[in-house]
Amino acid sequence: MIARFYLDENVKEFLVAALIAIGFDTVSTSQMGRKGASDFMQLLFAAQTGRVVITHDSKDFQQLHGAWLAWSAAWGAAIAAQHPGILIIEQGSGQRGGLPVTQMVANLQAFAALPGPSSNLIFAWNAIVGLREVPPLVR
Amino acid sequence: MAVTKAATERKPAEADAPNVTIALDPIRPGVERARLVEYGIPVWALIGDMGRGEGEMDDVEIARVASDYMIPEEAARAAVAYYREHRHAIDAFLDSNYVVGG
Repeated sequence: MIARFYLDENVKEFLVAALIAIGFDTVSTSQMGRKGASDFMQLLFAAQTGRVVITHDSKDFQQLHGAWLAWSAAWGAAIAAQHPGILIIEQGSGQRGGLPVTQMVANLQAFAALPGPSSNLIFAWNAIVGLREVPPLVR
Repeated sequence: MAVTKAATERKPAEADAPNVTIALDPIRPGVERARLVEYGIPVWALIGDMGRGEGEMDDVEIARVASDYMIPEEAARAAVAYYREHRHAIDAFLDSNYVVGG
């Protein structure tokens, strides 16, 4: 699986250095000068640079992924228009906080070790269910 | 950083955080999507990382989150102050920001 990551602006910046230290090619929206850009432009940038998007924003990216699949299929561009993948790391609901950097690094290592391509797929991780592929929101 | 200069822009606890501005995001409307202008980070992301239980937003936790996000502690404190003013909206966003169908 692809091991090049693009960290959304809601993800800890410190994770960039932690991932690079263990060999993952990782950049952030901050480093790319793309803070404040819309989510669809962030996904487009990730697709054009061959990077998996790492985000905490499940609401927007699940919808965006569904739109990407539906529109590219409707326009006959399903093969050409592939994004390298999206991984949503849920921050935890209720009163729980987010994950420490070490746990996030471990999750991304597990993600990178998954067999098969991540192209045009969306994955999620949380403390209860773990890492899994998520069906697109297309209906 | 594409944030609005709307009337809602403010410098929370200005005396303590003179270099921090929190403003609505023109692309993602709502106080629950407000962000730290100078750092481009949404308030909800910092709050979601801290945990929202009683006593969780103490100095140690604020310092940890500031370090993880590589922002000054005053910025993390400003985010907490903003959260306390808009707790209901931000809590609702965080509680609904989970993966559907997975």
